[in-house]
Amino acid sequence: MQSYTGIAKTLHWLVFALMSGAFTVGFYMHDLPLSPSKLQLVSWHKWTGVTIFVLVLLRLTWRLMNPPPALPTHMSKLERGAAEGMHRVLYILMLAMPLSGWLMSSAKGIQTVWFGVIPLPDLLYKSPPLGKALSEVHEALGFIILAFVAVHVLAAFKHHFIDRDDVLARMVPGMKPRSK
Amino acid sequence: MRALIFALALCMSFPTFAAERTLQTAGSRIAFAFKQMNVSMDGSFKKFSGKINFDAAKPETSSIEMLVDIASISIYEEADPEVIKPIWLNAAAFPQARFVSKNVKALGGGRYQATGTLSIKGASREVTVPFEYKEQGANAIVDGQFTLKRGDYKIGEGEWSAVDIVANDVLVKFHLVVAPAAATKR
Repeated sequence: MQSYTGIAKTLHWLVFALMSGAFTVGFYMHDLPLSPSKLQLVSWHKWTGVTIFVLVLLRLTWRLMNPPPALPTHMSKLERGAAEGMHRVLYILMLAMPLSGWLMSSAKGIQTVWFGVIPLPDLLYKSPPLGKALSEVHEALGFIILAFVAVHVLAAFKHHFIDRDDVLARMVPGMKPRSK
Repeated sequence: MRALIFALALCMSFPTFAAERTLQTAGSRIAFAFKQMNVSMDGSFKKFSGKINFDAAKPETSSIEMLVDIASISIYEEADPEVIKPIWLNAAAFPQARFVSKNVKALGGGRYQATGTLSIKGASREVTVPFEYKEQGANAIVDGQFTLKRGDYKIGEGEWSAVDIVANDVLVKFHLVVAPAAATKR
């Protein structure tokens, strides 16, 4: 069975690492009292989010140019549809999450400056109620992503341990396909 | 009778002094800007008042007093309750910031500068504030800006006194609508 390209694998695991970091920091900083270290964490969280957004756009571009390997033949039409839908939702969520954070910052009147160097345009006018609403959207998306990632991981394990196919192996660097 | 004449004479001589004019809250704005981790942050004060005795022809006769209500500060929702705490502006102990000047000089081209004392949070510093003054209908419009160092007034103590996260420089910008003297109620 064909594997994902090295670039696709690298981007997948890089985005996974950054998402884990952004989620952990986001969850932790949420209830901290205002302090210099909180502002530092918030900045890092935002920078990571913007980086994820850019990397996900790169992944989508790469995916269009290098279509993923075909799904195993044993999968039913329904399973194929589910896999396709699942990946679409994951991509939408990976873009929606940083976007909602960026919009939230704009509405709160705090511009996002990537790595403290590149200012992103403020997409919304300052509006505290809108900022509050968007922060709830941002938070809800966090838990929705967590749920979808959990399903994604469980599905990969199901392929590997129950179906005993190469769906997991083709995304894990260095993992050899099963010989059949 | 003599007293009456004296009073009349005093009244008639009054217009030769720069007439005291009061700041109009509507249309006036006192705002500020600073950098937080290289991100430009904007804020403003919603409540302030001022008395401005200013004669563009004789700026040296001027006197200016501005009072700013510290608790009326607005930056962003999470910051507003924090910055009035003792560690920042201590609004409870020092409810007002004050600027007084009796030293105004013309710079030419409708521009002036007021040198005076700015008091914030119990600390007083001499500052020079350049501004532009123009008559607009019955009102006068005063526009200007100056930079202060928050450290000079201990705005942000303890862990906040380091200026790597919240910068030391605060740019104060003002746009003041000054009502005509006649409309001023005493």
